[in-house]
Amino acid sequence: MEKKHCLRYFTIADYEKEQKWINDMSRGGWNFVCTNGLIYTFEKGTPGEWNYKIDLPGEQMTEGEVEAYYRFMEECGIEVVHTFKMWRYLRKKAASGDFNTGDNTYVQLAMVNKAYGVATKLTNILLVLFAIIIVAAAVVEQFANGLFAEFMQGFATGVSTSALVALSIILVPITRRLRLRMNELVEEMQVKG
Amino acid sequence: MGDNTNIVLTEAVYYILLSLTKPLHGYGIMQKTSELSRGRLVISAGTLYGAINTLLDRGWIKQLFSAEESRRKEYLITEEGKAVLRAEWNRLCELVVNGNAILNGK
Repeated sequence: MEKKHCLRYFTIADYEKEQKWINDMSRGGWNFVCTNGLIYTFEKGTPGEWNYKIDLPGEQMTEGEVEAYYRFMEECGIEVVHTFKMWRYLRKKAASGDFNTGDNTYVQLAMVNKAYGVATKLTNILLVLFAIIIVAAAVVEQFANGLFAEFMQGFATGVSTSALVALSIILVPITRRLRLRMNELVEEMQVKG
Repeated sequence: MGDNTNIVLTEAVYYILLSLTKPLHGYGIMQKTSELSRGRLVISAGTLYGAINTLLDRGWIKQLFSAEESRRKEYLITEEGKAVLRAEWNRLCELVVNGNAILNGK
């Protein structure tokens, strides 16, 4: 079967854009197969046969619950095409109706909230990493001297600066955008369900 | 269990409860809901899954154990669920009566 590979990058906050792009590809006759976060693989198919949706299981769900959730989806005619990290790429026949018609504000909010959880978790991991390195460098400075201590200090400064730069350049704006989107949806919920 | 007479149900939950006055599995609920609302309300699988779990937790619906070796679970409304549904129906009637009185002068 004819395949096509595309190079794309979407942040956590851009899953709606990613979903739209995958659906546009489907309408053009290219069905999504898999991705590693950068390279997206498609195979030739009938234009518009499938509708795609990107989903995240709930944060508090156990493995068994996640399995039950996607089994339920299957019973409803929804197929899990691909799993990348915690993201699930779902599809269903376009003839059986649009994926998102039943999605009210609440569903959208729940999804943004899950993405926000992922972004926050990443931020926390980076912060912990940063703290560990700072503490390690301080300990080394106290008890050792010479070349090794100097190397450790340089290393710690380098890594923690990169971690902070990554945090402020990538994760802070992503988290902010997700938070603003959540606020928008909460406002919308005050008017309609 | 708190007072169930003052709960405002979402449209989806109202229709799910109405559908489950007869035993149905998940996909059946989606079809029934769409049929009842003449295609206007389409519940997504994600919404339905969450709603079913919430309703089971609250004891408004129960899971039936089917005799056949089917993996599909069937659900049915409980007495408590019926009481909630009736309370919501009363509330909706009030909305209609008041709307009629003011908008149509009846």
